[in-house]
Amino acid sequence: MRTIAEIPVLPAEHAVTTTDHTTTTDDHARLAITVHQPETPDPTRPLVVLVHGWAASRTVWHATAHQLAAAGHTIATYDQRGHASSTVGREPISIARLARDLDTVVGTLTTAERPVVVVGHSGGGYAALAWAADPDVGRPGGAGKRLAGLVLVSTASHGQDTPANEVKMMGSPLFSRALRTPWLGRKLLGQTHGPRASLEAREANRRLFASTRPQTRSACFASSQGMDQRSGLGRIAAPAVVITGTEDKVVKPSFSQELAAALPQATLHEVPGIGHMVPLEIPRQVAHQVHQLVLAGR
Amino acid sequence: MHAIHHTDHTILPHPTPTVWNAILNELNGKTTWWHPHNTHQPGPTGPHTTNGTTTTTIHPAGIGKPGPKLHFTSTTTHITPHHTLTQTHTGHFHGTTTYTLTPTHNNTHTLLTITFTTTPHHWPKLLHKLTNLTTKHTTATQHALTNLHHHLHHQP
Repeated sequence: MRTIAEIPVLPAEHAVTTTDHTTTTDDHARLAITVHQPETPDPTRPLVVLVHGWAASRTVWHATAHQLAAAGHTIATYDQRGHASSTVGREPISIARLARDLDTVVGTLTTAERPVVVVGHSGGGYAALAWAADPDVGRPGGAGKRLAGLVLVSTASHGQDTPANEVKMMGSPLFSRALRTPWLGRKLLGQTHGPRASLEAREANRRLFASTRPQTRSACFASSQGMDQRSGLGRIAAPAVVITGTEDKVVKPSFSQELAAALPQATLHEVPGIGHMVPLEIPRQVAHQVHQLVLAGR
Repeated sequence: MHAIHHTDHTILPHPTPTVWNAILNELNGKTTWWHPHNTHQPGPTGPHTTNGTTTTTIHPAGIGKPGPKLHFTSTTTHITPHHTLTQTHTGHFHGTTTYTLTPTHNNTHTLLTITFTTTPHHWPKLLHKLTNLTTKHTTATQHALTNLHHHLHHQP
């Protein structure tokens, strides 16, 4: 395993353009999407969809998306329902519903023939796993046919039962007020990043958390109670990369180890000293792993 | 000044010809699923042929509500039936609108993509500095697309 200092910076060979999109789901949620791509995109490369975790937004991927697009990839990021610029829709938040939202984003941006690489962080990983394991998703052909790879960051397939009092706290106005105070918000979220996370990363995390609607935070954290996707993992034939920080206190590294062991074609990367907010703490490493996965599949 | 550039998408559970007809009917002023924000009035030659026109009136507060209205006239520059309709527009906005229809789900569904690239002119130029017209545009378009879902669902 290489340390972060040894990870090469991706070649920034392309000027990057970004375009904003909105799509509607079958229950009328509006999902805000940003597509980052090189000025001359290569349609033979897979579309890479980055799915953020609870109480974040597509902007959590900004550095990763930009580096990948500059290296020639077409990247889509979107706000999960109820987050940032996306609306909640009629159906309640659940892992299955978020997987169908991912399917809508993929179906909106690609033809059925174009392969897709999905990168999910934390709760975005739960949705990515549910999408990838569901043979009916993305019909005709199902997800399996078009899935060229999965990158699962700080995530798990089971065992994420947020205690009821924490779910309640996520929706509490008092907690929201505390999050809006920078020093206090960063302190409250101290367990979500590693000990060496930069002030910039910690503050970005606080802002994302604080700007998420309390109802969305609480619904998201409640949605993973009882989640167990282990029975579907064997169906995911696409190559996968599992990344975990050794200091992750939110989704403990043991869950990532178990996930990597259960997926038919997975490689595990454990990053020393890094916490749960991998996209903010080490975006270069995430970009590198996605880049390698895409190139390996060509 | 920033141009407005936004793409709205929706997947409709109807075949492409049905969606295509719904768009042309709306641009010809025969249906009302873009209400209450937009109304359409066809020119002497409608938008279903090259060089045909339609005039769009934007009602920011909704039809019949007080307040200024914005207008632009669109001319069809490219048409591939059941697939693409491209219009350039002038008036309070100068730019291009492209409607693209892609069959999905074994031709039982249609992915409708509307790309609006434009620059505000005259007083909307000032308005664009004061308020985010891109957000207003996509909110109105997504509202219209929700109406289109209902319209097609209830169509005999």
